[in-house]
Amino acid sequence: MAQAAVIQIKGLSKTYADFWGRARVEALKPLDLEIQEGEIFGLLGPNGSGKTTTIKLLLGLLNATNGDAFMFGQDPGNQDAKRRVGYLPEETYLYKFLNAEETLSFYGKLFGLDKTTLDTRIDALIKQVGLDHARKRRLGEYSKGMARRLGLAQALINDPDLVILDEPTSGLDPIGTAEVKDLIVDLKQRGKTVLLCSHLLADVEDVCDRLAILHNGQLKACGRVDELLMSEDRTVVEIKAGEESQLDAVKAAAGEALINVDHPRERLESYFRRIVAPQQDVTKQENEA
Amino acid sequence: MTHWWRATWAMASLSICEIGRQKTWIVLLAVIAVMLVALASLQAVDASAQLKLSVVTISGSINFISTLFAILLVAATITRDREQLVSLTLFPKPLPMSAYVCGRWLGVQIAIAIGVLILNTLGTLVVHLTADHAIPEMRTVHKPVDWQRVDIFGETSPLDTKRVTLTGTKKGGAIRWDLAKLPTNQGDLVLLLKGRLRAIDPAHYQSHIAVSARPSESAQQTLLVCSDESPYGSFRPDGKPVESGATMKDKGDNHVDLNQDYMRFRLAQELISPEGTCIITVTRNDINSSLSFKKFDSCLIALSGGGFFTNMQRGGCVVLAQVGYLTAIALLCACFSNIGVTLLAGLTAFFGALTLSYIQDMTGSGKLPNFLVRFLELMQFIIPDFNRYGVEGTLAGGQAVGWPIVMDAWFYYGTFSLSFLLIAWFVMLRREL
Repeated sequence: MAQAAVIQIKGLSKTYADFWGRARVEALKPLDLEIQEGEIFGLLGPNGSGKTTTIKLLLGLLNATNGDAFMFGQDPGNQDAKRRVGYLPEETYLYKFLNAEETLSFYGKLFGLDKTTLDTRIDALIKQVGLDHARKRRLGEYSKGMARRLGLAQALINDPDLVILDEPTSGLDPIGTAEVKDLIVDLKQRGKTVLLCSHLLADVEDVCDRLAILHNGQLKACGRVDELLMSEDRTVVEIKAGEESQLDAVKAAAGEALINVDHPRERLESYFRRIVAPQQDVTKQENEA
Repeated sequence: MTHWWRATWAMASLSICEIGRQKTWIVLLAVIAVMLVALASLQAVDASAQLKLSVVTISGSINFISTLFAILLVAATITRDREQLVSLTLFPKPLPMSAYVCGRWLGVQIAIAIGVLILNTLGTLVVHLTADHAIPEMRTVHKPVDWQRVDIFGETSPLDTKRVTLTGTKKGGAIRWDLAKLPTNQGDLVLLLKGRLRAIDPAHYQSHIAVSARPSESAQQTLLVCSDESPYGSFRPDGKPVESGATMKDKGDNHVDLNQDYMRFRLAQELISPEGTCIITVTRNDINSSLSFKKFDSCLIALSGGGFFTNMQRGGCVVLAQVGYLTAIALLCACFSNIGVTLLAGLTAFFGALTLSYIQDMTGSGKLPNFLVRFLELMQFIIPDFNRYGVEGTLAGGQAVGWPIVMDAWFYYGTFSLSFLLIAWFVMLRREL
């Protein structure tokens, strides 16, 4: 069964103009893209490549110069479509005079959530993003990472069908980064669609089903992550350590086609998590006790 | 529509919370302290003047501070949404732009209303204390529907002017006012009377008049006597009591204090017809001076206008209508500009509205170049007149601020506010984030 397109972009472009309406910067060249229901889609690109502009166009925060964008089949800025979307901007822009509970309550009210649902969700989300100990503190007293976590919580307050995350791990420590990735995977398992926008390649590679690469406002590549990253001109053979005879046999068989023999390396992130996470768990338990 | 209201109320609550947590109440306390110090140093010639001065000062400062606060609060809150990019988190939510604009406006209005309520309460208390526990008595007035001139032979002739002067060398010229729709269930009423007096001889700075009343054309006239509470009229210039009629003093157009500037007469219930009509006749009995009356201001029926505190609060409602206009204009500027420009525009609108009557005088003087006259005339379409209702003067004059005044003020300033809110909404719709 064919999946429904949650986001459809057809020839979408954006040119920023000056006060007199003269074209200044072509931030996004005509872009065609479709994101299917239930997938995690990564939008990659260096700074200024047009990622955030694309998202703003989708959300109706910018007016497109040309082309069309649809979310759930609706125009950008459509209120019904917005009810099904959660958005985390690239920086955490929240009211500093509110505390975590008040922030989530305020944004929840904008979605028209009733008090019972709101209270349940606020409680669950605050625990999920690890801010239970700071729920009554005003945001002005939050660290960047804590504010980022709360930003993520506000993006999920309406239990959205589509979650748009712009640099979700910016400002987070490695543990926080890993938790966000776990959360994204969890969202996918719950059937949600995620549009992840980042210039951190590892983040995208770890969680995304498909990705698109933008550069200077132009789509450079788009497809499944495995397909894009597969090197068709090389093959990797893994052998258990200590099985020297088998390794020699492989070397002999490969002959001049052999390029490199080395031990596989663990990724720094998983190493860091292995070292730090158990200690953090102990500290958390002590704090709770 | 339900969602629109919820979103609007969410924005309004946010604004109130934001204003509250900005610790603006500290400034409010400072204002109260300054007000108290200023009041303590006020000096007036007598107790009644002191009371009037206190009322004018208190209500005037409340009006001034409230309107300035509105500009400051809007500039501080709305521009922050844009400059700190909170709008990037706000507008991807299903928040209609109109709900955002209205919610912000409503929030500031409610915050200011709370401030005005507190200041008015304290103001009433201060007036009570400084005026030796004498809270001013508030009255609402019932104006005549028609008037006629009565010659010395008793013949009446209609008057189509709004002012008439009784003069001549013979006694007996008179004016009669026709009153209608008077309350018939409130017992005796109070008749208020004043007039302008001109005498050739300075010794005749008071003039003797006869005041009579009858329920209808066919009824017998009854001579009215100045009541004991009347501020003047009961005594002749030589200090002896007036046996019949009253002694009138010169009270011109600027004398509008119902407690001080009007003679009082008791209008018995039987002098009012069951239909609520009554005819008042004032006869000139002194040929040494001329008497001048105005159709709607010289002869009034005073009715109870409620307590001073209630009237202060209704006056506050008029102030809120003005605040609404300034909030809307500041909100519009905040939608596309920074805090400095917003403050400047708000203050310009505020002082423009305060001085509109002077601007109108200037445009009519013929001394300005044509282009400037046209410009100032155009300005009058976007700037309302803040002196239109003169709440301070009304309250100090013992005149009640009724709900019709409040409604009229909201309609007048509300039209301006609505226009600017609509423009703000349009600007926000077009604006990219």
